Formats: sequence, C-alpha cells, structure tokens
Amino acid sequence: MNLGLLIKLFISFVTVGLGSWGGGTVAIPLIQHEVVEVNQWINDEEVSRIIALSQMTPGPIAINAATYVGYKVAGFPGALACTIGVITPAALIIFSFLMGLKRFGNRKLATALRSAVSPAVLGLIFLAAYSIGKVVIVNFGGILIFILSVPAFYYTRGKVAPVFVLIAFGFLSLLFS
Amino acid sequence: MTSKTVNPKNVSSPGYLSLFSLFFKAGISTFGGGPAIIAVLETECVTRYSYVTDEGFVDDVAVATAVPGAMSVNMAFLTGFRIKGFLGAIVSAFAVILAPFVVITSILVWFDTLLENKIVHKFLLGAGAAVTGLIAVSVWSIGRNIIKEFYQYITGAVFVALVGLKLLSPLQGLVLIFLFNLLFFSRRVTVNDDVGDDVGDDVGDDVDDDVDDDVDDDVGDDVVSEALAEGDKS
Repeated sequence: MNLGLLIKLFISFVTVGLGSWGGGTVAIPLIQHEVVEVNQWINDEEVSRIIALSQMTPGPIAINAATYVGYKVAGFPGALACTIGVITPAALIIFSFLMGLKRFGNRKLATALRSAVSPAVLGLIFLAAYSIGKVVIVNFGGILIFILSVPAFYYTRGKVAPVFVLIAFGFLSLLFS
Repeated sequence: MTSKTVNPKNVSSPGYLSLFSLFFKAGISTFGGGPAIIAVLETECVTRYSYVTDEGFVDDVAVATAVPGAMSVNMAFLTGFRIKGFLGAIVSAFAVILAPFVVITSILVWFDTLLENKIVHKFLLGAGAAVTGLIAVSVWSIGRNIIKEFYQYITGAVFVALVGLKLLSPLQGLVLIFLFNLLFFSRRVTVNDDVGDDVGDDVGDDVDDDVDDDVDDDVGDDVVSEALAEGDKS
C-alpha cells in the first residue's frame, strides 16, 4: 500500500474536518475543493452522488464522503485514513475543551449561559427536521409517514430504541406508491 | 458518585458494551443526515435511560455546534464523555461512525446499483420521513424542560427565522442569540440549584461581566472532575 497516498488522503480530510464549522452544508464545498479541485481524486458528478447518497443513507455527509473517496482512491486503508482524518480535528478540539473545563467549573455561570443559548439550540434541532424533511418528504406517502411517526415516537419514548421504529416506518413506506 | 447528591436524575451508568450498542443504533438511525442524532440521543440517553440530564444535553448540543466537524460525531464524543469519561467518548464515536462506514463501503464494493433499486429507495425515504417526526417529538420534549421564559420563545423563533432563511449560518445564529440573551436578559436567567452535570463556560471570560449579578455569590464545584471520576471509577 502506498503510504504517501494514505498520508495525503488523511491530511486532506483533516482540512475538511477542521473547516466544517456548522456541519454538512459547510462541509460540501470543502470536500469538493479538496477532492475535485486540488487532488482530482473524483469528479463533480461523483460529489453530487455522494451528497445524494448521504441524504438518504445513515450518517453525516463528511463521514460518508471520507469513506467514499478513501475507498475509491486507496481501498479499505484509504477509507480508514480519510474517516479518521475527518474526525481528528473535532476529537482534538473537544478533548482539549473538556480538559479546559476542569479549570473553569462554575455551576451557576453555566446555568446562566445555558439559558441564553438554549433557544438557539432548540431552533437548531427544529431546523434539522426541516432540512431533512425537505429532501425526504417528496410525496403524499412521505407526509403520511411524518404524521403517523409523531404519535409513534411519542408513545414509544423510553420503551423502544428509535432505530426500530424508523425501520418499521421504512417498511411501511413500501406499501405506499 | 458525588453528582448523585446534586443530580438525582442522573443515576445510571451503562457498561462499555451497552454504550457501544446504544451509539451504534443511534448511528444507524441518522437516515437523512447527522443532525438526526440529536433526537435519537435525547430519546435514548435523556428520556429512556436517564444517563444525561436535559441541561447537560443542551450544553452538549451547543458545544457540538460550536466546534467544527460532523454533528453526530461531535455529539458522540461529548455525550459519551458525559456518560463514561474519555474511553466512553472514544467508544461512542467509533460506534456512531461504524454504521455509515460499513454502509458506504458495502455500497461501493457490492451494491453499486442498490440505491437505484426502487424498493431500497422507498425504504430510505420512508425512514427519513419518520426521522422528521422523531425530531419533532424531541423538540417538544427538550423545549418543555429547557425553555421557561418568554424571551426564550421569541429569541428561539428569531433564530429559526434567521438561520432558516439562510441569513446566518447555524453557528453565527447560535452566537448571536447567545450574546443577545446574555446582554439583555442576563438578570432573568433561570438559576436552578438542582442542576448537576454542567458543561460550563467556554466563553466565560467574555461574558463574565454580563452575568456577574447572578453568579458571583457562588463559585461552583468542579463538576467535570466529578464526571471524570465517574468515568475512571467504572
């Protein structure tokens, strides 16, 4: 296996991981820049394919893209190098943040800060539903699934892992046109 | 476990294997993209197993947004750390990545035309549509416990408008609403003594003056060292 290529893949995706402040939508142009423009590992068409793939299959787009590009370019070791690369910056930043917290623990201050930030956090989660729904709810069946899923998740809360309910709805959707 | 006394809600701690299984299932659940993980973890870690409090969970979402990288991996690191320390964070992140990693490599190796298959396509769209319902329930559940003041409803709606209309990025919106609330409503922030596991003041130095009135009477415990001790103990 070409070690130089693996290192190049790794560094490339460290750049993507480091630059993607704000999640998937920010990561897309970064990925495109790294893998199409700078390194020509894959073409624009494949990037669109990765985006389409990511919007449906489980997992964040950065991980999906890293796995896809890494595998295409250098097989399984490449997929591993890219995936580890893309999460490395977040891991280092989060771990140093958690270490730093040891020095600044103040419960009431934290509560005060939280009250200020929580409306935005809730808004963020709300918008996640909107942005996912925009892509996957494409017909009447999708709307119906959404309407049925709200009580389903409400009544199974604390009893069933969501993944099983999601899979059940996946199968249910096969009944609709 | 000292935090038990200040935070009676946070009573249980899983083994590494159940932690792995929990985050692996969460990783599979993110049909439609990473942010869906927030709803899954809220349902599982907060509501079902009480590994994490509502307050701690909101902190983690805020931090996961404020650092670069994929939301689901960041949440796995932070929630995993909260539940079971450093090793917990590594196990959780690995578990969350495993499902998408396997799915993408399998598609590339064996099923290149899998997504063109009508049945698979329908299944994924159906599961994705249900994810939006899951998130909707989660928004209600978190909001009920976290949003207490009128100004929070208003600024939350302003955030949705600004970011939803793409006038600001999620991070810009988060910082704007955060600073705005601190500046104008810091005297009204809810100070709740029962709250235990806080992730604290990442921006503390900048905002100390604004919230001094509310906080200067108590220099709190080092809650993270408690979390660390919990992690080490198990």
